Amino acid sequence: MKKYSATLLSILLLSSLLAACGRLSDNDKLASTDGPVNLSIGASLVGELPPKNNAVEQAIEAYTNTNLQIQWIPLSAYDEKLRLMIASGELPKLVKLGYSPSFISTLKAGQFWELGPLLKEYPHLAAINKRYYENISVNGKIYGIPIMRSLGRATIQYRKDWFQVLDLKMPVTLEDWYQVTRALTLEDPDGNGKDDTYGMVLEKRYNQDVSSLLTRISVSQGGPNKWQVENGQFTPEFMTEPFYETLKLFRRLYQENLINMDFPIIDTIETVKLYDSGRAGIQISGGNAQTWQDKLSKYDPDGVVDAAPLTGPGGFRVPEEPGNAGFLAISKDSVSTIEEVRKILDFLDKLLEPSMQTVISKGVENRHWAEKGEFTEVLDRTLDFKEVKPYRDMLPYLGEEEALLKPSLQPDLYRKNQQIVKSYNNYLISNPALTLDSVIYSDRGKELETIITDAETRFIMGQIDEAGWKAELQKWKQAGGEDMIREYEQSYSKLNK
Amino acid sequence: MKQEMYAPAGTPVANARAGKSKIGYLIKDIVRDKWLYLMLLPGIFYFIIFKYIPMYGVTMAFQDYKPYLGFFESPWVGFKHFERFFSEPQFGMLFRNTVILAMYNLLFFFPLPIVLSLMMNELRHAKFKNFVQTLVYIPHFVSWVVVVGIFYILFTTENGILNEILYQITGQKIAFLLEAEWFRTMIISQSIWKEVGWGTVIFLAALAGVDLQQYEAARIDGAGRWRQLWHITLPAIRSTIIILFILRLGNFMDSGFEHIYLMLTPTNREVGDVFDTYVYTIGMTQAQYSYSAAVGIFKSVIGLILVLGANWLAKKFGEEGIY
Repeated sequence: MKKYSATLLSILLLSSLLAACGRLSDNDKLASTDGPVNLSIGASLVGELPPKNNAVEQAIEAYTNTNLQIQWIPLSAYDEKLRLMIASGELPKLVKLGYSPSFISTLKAGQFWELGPLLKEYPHLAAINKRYYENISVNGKIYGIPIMRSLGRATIQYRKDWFQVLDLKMPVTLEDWYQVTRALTLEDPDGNGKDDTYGMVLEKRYNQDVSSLLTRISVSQGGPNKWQVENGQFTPEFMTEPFYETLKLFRRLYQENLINMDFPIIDTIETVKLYDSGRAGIQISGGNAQTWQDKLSKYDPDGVVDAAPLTGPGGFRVPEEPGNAGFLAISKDSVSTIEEVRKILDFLDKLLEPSMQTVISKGVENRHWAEKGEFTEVLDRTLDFKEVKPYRDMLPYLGEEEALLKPSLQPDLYRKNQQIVKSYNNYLISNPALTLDSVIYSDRGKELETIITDAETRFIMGQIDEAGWKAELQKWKQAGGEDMIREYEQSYSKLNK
Repeated sequence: MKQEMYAPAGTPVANARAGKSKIGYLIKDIVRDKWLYLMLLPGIFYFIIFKYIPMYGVTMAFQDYKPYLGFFESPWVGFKHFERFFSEPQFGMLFRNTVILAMYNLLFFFPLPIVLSLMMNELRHAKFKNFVQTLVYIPHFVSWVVVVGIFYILFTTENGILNEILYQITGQKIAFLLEAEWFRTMIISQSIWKEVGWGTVIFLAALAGVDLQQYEAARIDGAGRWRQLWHITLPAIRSTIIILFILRLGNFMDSGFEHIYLMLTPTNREVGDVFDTYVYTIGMTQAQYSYSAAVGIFKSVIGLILVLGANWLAKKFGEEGIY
């Protein structure tokens, strides 16, 4: 009988392993009367969780007569969590969506309210530049209020002190990029006698989405932004010459050990640390160079960061980004009546009024900021980061100038970076396929993209040569790329008739 | 076993009972042991509510499931998703990767807990044995994220400890985490590091049940350690080994999603992408729930076939099997 006990034990063990099941929490289903409107919001969060009922949230609630329940979800897990919420129909009333294939198919399926026709009733929402709405439209319909960002953001950020020591100039051509990276890596710019610097360090998302380094450099060299359209013919960027040349640049840098060997697996957090601790000299970033300077100063008080516009042989050429960090959409699962939709739009409209924009941008007066003559001054950067930034990141915010706010006092570099971004306006290269309709893209866009992004990495690492790269392009075409091109062309010709 | 409890088979009583309607016999049985059956109810309800009813969700593999339509209104599409899956160009690669990893697992991982528990069984100092047991269990409680993190620190090319040593000796670095040919080795060695100790639990329990008198008798007959191991210990735990092997076959196609996903890089995807990661990619990142459910079912069906097959084989060779 004893051997049965072992059997029994093993079966018990196994069945207990199988008996796990996860569930999602329920949302409140509150109907509001005249009191404050109950509003649940699904929002992404980059840093720390803001304290419950903090001053900013209270100010917003008081002004808009709402009772907010914000579900903060870390950005890194946001999309996945949201897809689960969509699948289970357990959504907050207002939720941040990204303009990506799976959400687009959800929008097409009609799980969210179409807001386009209602917008004209709300003066502030209607006043937002059409461009922002166009970039989030699905088949010409608008399903959300964009969380606005600059349209072109990429700037070259570099160590000015290192460039002076080595007598380097801003890179313009690909050969320049090579020379600069080489010098910054090999010629000991920090003068400590050790071979411990990089020109550039790449992180594992270096070729992903709008912030792709490859796209940014290729565009500056005359390439298209993701898609090229000529006489109605579509070509993906990775089949164009400037892009291939850019790939070859990185292949060369990798071969000569001028960039980090572990780039396909290293996280952004790690590469940022390398830059912040004075180990690397140049990067193209969508953020503000001041952030780098602030962090660098802690390690190296003499380190100087500067920003420069992304320039190629043909002058400024910058990929236009969608101009949003997602958009706020209203779910049909949790909002069943058009009256409630109007109430939520009313809330969003109020947020765009100057007094609310001030709160979103700067926080509460005398707690987060104070008047300082022509400017306003941030009182405590840590507090700003903790209590104001989360809201600034996820609520519609027009920017100081557009919202007619008093400018806040910022360091020169910060303003220089802002100035550069503003000067891009006439040099933006847009992505012609951004809002075109493609079933293949919404069904398997990610899969197809992976074929190419993997091949790029392997090409740079020298695991495949030119023939191998061509073979991967062929594979992409067969896996659905060809159909995607055709769908884009059809959609394009329909719109441009 | 049943016959022992009621009446020996073949006796007139048993024959008469078998002759009567079986249902009537069952009802009588239930009435007699009603309190025992009552105690069974919560368990039955648990399985019905949390296991069998949710199984209805499997039907989504045969639908074009749309979250806002739900299970009852999504259109039926028959085997469309299965057809797509089998004609997918990636299918061959996924199947190959999954099966190779599973084979490696059976070959290199499965025997190790047995070897380890036999070794621990030979330890005679009780306190030392307990100490070793506790020690080998610990890695099981470390999560995959941490395990992969530790391996990353050890094996990365930028200041990874192992690569630094390698560089000092050979002047070369090996990108263990990036090279496709190292992928399976890394996966299996991580699995071994983490789970081998935990795998000994059941074998040690079986070993504890071996009759000590048999060893004594063997020693009197002049059998050495190896002889005892071969003729007493191994036969004693043979049925446990076979049962665990059959159960393991049930999970044959499970490669351990978390583990593989954490180790995947653009450069090893061609050997590392398995059904589990594929289900994730299409289900979670592309929101094709029905299609990924179909892939999941395919995996389960293969697991079921393997279990039934192995069980049938085991019985054929006179072993216990799992049912």
